[in-house]
Amino acid sequence: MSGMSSRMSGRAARRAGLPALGVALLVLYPLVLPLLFSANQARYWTLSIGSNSLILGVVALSLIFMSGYGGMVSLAQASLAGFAAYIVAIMNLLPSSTATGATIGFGWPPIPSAIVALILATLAGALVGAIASRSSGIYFLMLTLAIAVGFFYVVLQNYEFFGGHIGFAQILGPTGQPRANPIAFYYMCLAVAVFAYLGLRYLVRTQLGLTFQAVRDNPRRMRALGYRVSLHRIAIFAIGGFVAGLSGVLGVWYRGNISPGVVDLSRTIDVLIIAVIGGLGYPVGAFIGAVIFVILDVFASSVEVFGFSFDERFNTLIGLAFVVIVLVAPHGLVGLVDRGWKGTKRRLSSSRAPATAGEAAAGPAGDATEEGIPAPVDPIDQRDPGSTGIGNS
Amino acid sequence: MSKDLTDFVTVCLNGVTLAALYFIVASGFTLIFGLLRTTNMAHGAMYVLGAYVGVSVVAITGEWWLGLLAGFVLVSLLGIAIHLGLLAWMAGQDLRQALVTIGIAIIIVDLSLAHYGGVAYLIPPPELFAGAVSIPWVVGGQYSAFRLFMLVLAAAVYLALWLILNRTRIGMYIRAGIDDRDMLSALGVNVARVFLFVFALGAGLAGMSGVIGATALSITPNEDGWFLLSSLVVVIVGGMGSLGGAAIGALIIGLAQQIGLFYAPTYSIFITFVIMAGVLAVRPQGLLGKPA
Repeated sequence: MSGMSSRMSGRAARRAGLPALGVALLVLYPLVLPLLFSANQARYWTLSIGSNSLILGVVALSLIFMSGYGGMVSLAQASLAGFAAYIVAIMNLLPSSTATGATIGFGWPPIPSAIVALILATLAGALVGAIASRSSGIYFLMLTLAIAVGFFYVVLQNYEFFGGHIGFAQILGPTGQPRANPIAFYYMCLAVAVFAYLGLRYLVRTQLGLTFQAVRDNPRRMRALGYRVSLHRIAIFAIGGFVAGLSGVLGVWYRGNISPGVVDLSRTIDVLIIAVIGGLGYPVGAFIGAVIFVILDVFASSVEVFGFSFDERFNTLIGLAFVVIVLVAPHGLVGLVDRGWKGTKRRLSSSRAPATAGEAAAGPAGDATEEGIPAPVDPIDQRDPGSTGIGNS
Repeated sequence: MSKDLTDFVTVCLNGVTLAALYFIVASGFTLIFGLLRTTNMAHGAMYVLGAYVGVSVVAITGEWWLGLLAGFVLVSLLGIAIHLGLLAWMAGQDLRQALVTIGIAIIIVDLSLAHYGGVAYLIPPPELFAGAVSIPWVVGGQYSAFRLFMLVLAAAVYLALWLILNRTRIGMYIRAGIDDRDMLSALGVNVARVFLFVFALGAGLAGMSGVIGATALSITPNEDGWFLLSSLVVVIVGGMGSLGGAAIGALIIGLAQQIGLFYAPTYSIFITFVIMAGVLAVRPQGLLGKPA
């Protein structure tokens, strides 16, 4: 018994040690770069690879949180991030007249602008949730996609509030120009990413977080128990909107501008791709997926397969990679490692029965409580319970 | 006739003819979803591909109808390949299927961009419908013959699909499969083959509508998002898997977009979404959809 408990605590220590090690490496990352590269290259690796991955990771994290703990794969997250970015721009810019003659801009400093943006992104998330929580499963995916694509066309057509196809430029964050002070900008991104990751990890252990998961697993039973299911779904959306908003705020400070291109369909899909590459059921996968995505993006030009250069064809490369991941590793790369590791352990231990398909599909939920962190469930495992009444009139 | 009224009639006619296109696009989407429960996220990309097939075939042969046929056949062959090669292996896993089709859509659109570039192509209409016809109450007294012809095409597609669904054996299987797949399979019907037929038909309709859309409007590679969105909104409003729902949804969305574009240009998309949210609030399953 004591042996077991020591093994457990050893494992717990290892599990706590791994994130701490990861954060330590991320803190050291920009400090090591100047030793390896020239100043220009170090800046590139700090900003375009490091900060960019963190920013994309945070928005993918919001998607993974919603899918893993809420059972809802939302395609509206990139749009919520973009919405927050637009609000930062509008609050931050000095009053000026737009193409239609309306005056827009409040001239607020960066931080208050960001706070307003985060509040509005949370509310916008709740609004999307209020519309979308009436559907479920695959309808939900379609509905949030429709909202996302619709938002793109709204900002593209609307000059009064969103500046039309031009958008807004010259938006500075609290650290100033990212290029002028890349390390400060990087640490700001890292702080936000760690805050979002740990915050969500904490949240899922609270009463509210556990209720979210109960609603995910059995909405009918929760409704029968007197919980307000749709209100909880809206709350998940609001939290998802807040986290996506964090990414949007960092993103607009990173780019210095905002235009409809930042919320178009391909950005929406990018966030999904990042989450799927990392693993829809694994919060840390958001950041791993983001790093892989950014590195593919940067180095696509040097990839050559059978004489076919992906120089201009990054999208083809990422599309192929995406299809392959969904085919061979539907739980993402983190899922591949995690499940591969568990499978090896299972095969090595003779006391346990070999894994059945059902057990494998139950995924990380199996050892949910051993580290006190409830495991998310990958919605990719959810199967269509059978055709239910979608009929032809 | 006052100017306001001729404006309104013209705008409505634009809306109805646009609805005809939306219906043809969305009919394939809703058929596939209704039976297979596969959300074909590549539907917009298939529209784009069909349009480019039409552009090339019409440019080579000079025959519009051949372009239409080629758009249907080639895209439905691609649909067969996608279904047999990828989707059939993950039947029932609807999220995974949706993800795979997203990947395919990215590849199709990117390769279209590589081959045709970012410029807009326009397919010349068949000679019979090349000009304008005189009709009363519209601005200028004349209206594009091809856009009117789209109404005929949409009606023909509706009729053909209705006949297939209600008057043929495979249509009977499709209707039965929509209600209860497992029971249909238990009765000895080769459900896999029915699925394949429906997927090929739906993909072909997307390809065909691309040719029609490229003739009436124009085609650029990034059009896929717009037509995927239109299909989604049309079937969300009309009800998933329902042919009549797709027709009603297309009419509502086509009219709302054109009326919005004329009277409140910067809010036209917004109106579409207010309608969608409104329908969902009252009838989450869509106007003609059965409750899930």
